[in-house]
Amino acid sequence: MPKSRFHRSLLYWLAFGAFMCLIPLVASTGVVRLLIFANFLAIFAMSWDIISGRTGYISFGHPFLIGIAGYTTAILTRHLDAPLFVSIPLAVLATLVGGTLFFLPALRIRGTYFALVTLAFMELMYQLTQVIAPKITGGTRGLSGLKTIILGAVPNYYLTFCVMFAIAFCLWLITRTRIGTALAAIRMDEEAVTALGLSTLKLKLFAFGASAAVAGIGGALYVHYIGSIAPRALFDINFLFTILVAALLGGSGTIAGPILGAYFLTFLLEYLRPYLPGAERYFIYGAITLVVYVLEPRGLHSILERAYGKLSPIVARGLAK
Amino acid sequence: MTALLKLSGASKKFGGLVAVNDVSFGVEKGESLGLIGPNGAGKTTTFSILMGEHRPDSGSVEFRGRPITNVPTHRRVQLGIARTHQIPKPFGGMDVFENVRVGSMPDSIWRLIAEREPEHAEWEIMESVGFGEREARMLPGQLSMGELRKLELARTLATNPEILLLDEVFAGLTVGEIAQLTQLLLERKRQGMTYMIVSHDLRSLRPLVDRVIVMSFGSLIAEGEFDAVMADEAVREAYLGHARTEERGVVDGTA
Repeated sequence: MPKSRFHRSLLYWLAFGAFMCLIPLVASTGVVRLLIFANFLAIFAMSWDIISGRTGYISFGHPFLIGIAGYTTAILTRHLDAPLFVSIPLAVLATLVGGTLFFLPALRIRGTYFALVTLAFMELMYQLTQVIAPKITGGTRGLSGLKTIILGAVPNYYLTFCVMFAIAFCLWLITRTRIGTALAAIRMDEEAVTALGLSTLKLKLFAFGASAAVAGIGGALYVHYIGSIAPRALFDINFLFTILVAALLGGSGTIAGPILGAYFLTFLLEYLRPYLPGAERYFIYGAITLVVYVLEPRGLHSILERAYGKLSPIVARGLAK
Repeated sequence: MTALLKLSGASKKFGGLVAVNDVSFGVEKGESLGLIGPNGAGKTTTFSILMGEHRPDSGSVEFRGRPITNVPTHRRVQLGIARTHQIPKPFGGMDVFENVRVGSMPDSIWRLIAEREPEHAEWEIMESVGFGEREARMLPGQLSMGELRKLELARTLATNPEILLLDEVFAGLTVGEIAQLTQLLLERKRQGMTYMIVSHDLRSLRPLVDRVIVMSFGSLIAEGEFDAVMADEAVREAYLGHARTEERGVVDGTA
């Protein structure tokens, strides 16, 4: 990436960060609370995109990774009274181990088969959390009354935004190096990558590890934000598809795309709620997703990029006059 | 003298089809070896065995005197063996320059993230195959078949191979492009690169190779200098069939 382009992108990141930091000063508490959920969704969508958007291994089992982190920290704090600064890192570590398990099918299969196996991972965990040691996991009801990190909408907003922003920025820095190109090459033709002397095993392991770590951070924080963990909500197919759609709608294979998609989806679903309080609103968001995907498969990020490309010369000419 | 790359008694079956049948040969360092034969003779499968893309049912592969039969493909490339494919396999979403850059990447996560390698080596390779600034920013979908072959070659050269296996490298190229590519390969040969070339274009192959081996129905049927091999009765029969051989009289490199 040429230096000028790098500096311009850096400027956009700073502007985005500064803008988002100012929002609680003008927005209502309701909007701030929505943004907290959008930040969590953005973290999960970025995590999904590292595996699926970059390497092309479509995961239908991301709640499995989020669940490992959530249950680890919930069990540690509830039953062992572990402090959060211990339970959250341990939860991320446990998710990394879980990510390795998740990676094993990718050694032999890809495409639809891989997606189905990952879906099985999610379903398996859903069943296990209810059947195996329900005294520890809370069974079908899960665990509630868990410790929270901080109280109040605004502090939680800043916490979740800072975490989301830090993850996004780190991922952006990493993916703009040659590893970003190598991961994209795997998505395009894995055999050709091998034929050029690169170990796709190593690259995929890196992508799965990074994805698991991000899912782990998001999952652990999420549990301590809402103060509970419930298997039915966590391993719900709607939750899974919200993550997928956020990444695809925003722009898969980019960093800004999943963030954009997460913010768009969260507000869309919320503003549809008064008109369509039930699950019907998922029809609307499904339809919008289909339309955007058919018109621009690279998502909202690409639409905005094109609009910016067309508008910026006009604005520049206007300013010059 | 130990062969740089050696195949010993290799066989490969796909179901009931014997694609490669007890084939043995070696390539000396600095040598250019042509591998010819009619369609379906087993040439590409032989390349795949040498690269580790197909595991032979029997037999072995050695590189610099060491067995590599069980070494995975990416490790063989790191050792110094690389191939081009009959059907080019570019990364469709990347421009030409990025495609070549993947070829020169180190196999280390840390180095891929932390190091910023200069780009001059890739530009040298790009120029050597006739790509300039304009082509560098083009997507593979915008290239002709000839340009795709050049991209495939450039990307493979970027892995810095000691021995290069070229599969139908002249197919789809214009006369001018073939001449340019021949010059490039001869220049690399002078610099010490070792080649194995599969080609149906015998006229283009002739100035490039020191020796040829001929395969038919998976078996090695002849080996030696180009003209001598072309005059071989078994080779003529494999290419044209018995009756046609009698009609045509001879198969040679100018046919």
